[in-house]
Amino acid sequence: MAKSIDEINEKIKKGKAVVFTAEQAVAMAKERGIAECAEKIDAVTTATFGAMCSSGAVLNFGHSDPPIRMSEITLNGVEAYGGLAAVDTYIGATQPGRDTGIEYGGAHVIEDLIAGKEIELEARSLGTDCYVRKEIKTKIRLSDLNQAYLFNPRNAYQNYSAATNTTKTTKRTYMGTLLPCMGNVTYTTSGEMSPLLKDPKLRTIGIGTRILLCGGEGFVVFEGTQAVNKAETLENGDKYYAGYTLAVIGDMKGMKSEYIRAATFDGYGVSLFVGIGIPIPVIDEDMMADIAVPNERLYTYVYDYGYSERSRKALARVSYAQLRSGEVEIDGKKIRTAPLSSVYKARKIADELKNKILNGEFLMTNPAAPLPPREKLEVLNTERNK
Amino acid sequence: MKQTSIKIGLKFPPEKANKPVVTELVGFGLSFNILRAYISPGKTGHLVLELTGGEENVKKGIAFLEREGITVTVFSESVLHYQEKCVHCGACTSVCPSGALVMNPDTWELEFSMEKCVLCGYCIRACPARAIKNFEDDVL
Repeated sequence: MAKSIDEINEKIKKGKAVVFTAEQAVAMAKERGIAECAEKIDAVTTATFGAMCSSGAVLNFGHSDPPIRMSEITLNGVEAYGGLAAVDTYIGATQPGRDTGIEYGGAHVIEDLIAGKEIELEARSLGTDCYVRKEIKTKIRLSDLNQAYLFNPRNAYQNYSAATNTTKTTKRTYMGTLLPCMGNVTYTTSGEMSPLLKDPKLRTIGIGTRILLCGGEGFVVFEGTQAVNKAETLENGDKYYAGYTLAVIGDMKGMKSEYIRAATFDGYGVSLFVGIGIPIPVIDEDMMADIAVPNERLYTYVYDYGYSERSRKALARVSYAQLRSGEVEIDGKKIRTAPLSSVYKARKIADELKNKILNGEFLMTNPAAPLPPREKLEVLNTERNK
Repeated sequence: MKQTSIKIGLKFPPEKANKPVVTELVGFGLSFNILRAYISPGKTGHLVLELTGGEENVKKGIAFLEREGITVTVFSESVLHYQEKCVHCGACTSVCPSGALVMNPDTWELEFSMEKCVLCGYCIRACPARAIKNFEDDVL
């Protein structure tokens, strides 16, 4: 029996909705079957807590007296973009600090702002008739800012590749430290909790979908950069989905420190652990069937990060159950695995979102527009200059 | 006497670096295993030891080292792992050679065992949240 999002919201408002986390829904579907689950469950909460480089914050400082049109801006010594209006800026998570390098960068500024810490703002300007001030040095806090919102162009990767390294030297990558001779495999998707793996056809997640972003209210605002719909039917009939991403936005003033954390990947750079929770309304049996797919039937490919060529080949296909077991086999060799995204935090987010829905504080959204399908990923042409 | 085995970091002031101090621990009924050592004449010396013996003897041995002007750090789970900073991502487990850092397969929380730790320090730089004490800078 199909249910509309409005009908589900009515049940939530009356306190009668049945809400499960994705893991709970997977377990119940194994026991009771898809049809019964589709009937009983109204909403399922998915979540992920992983490093998402394409993240950053839009900030508005308010005007000083006399005012300044900020062009060169630093926050705690980390450069922020000076090409917006007078006192607007965007600070990117991966920006290294001028003196602190990757040990303190844009992500750390964002984390400190959310934690309520004081941040040193320095800005310069050439000065104009209407903005006479040429420099400013002061301290700001999140609560002082007019607007402060995360606007992350690419988050919540549907299904990311796992990584290993076949070369004889250690590689320090955004997939962590990869030991030589396939000494380890790292992976970063939250498997059966991953939002876009639970709604792989983008039937309910769309532009305008309300989400939990770093513990506060957020929204899906667009397709994420580099979004592409990769779908493959495997020999055993299971589906492999990957490639779609989300652009998300959320007010930093409502965020919680425990769901956001700056990250330094040794030898690589700065990144930001972002916690995202997305509810999926169980609109029909097909939706439930996608939600019910367990780690045993969700797959990713292991790539050799020892080489940086884009054309690098996949070494193996593995399931998330295998990855989670702590060991996978590639070419007859048993290799230990390690996660890079926190299952522990993702569970906390899924639980928190579930409780918000049960308490009637969080409703499902009818998207303003669907997320567009993307068949192909363009590559950067380097031949045109010749 | 109850037997114990602990891991300690020793920092020798330059003037003590050439003096045979550690060997005196044998006199306290202790055995030691050198895990790491950085010693150069005229410079601050660093040593990581696993110290085994009776509990009281271990205490006496450490007191002796301190009397000799050596800074002693007793390593423990809480000294090396900043719980409040850890996000339980698991990045450290990928480089840990001794199985001291593992994910609990049920809760997916990071579990750290001092007993298994060999103080190699690989996890320090592998941790994106910098939740492992940089004992190489602070102690070594």
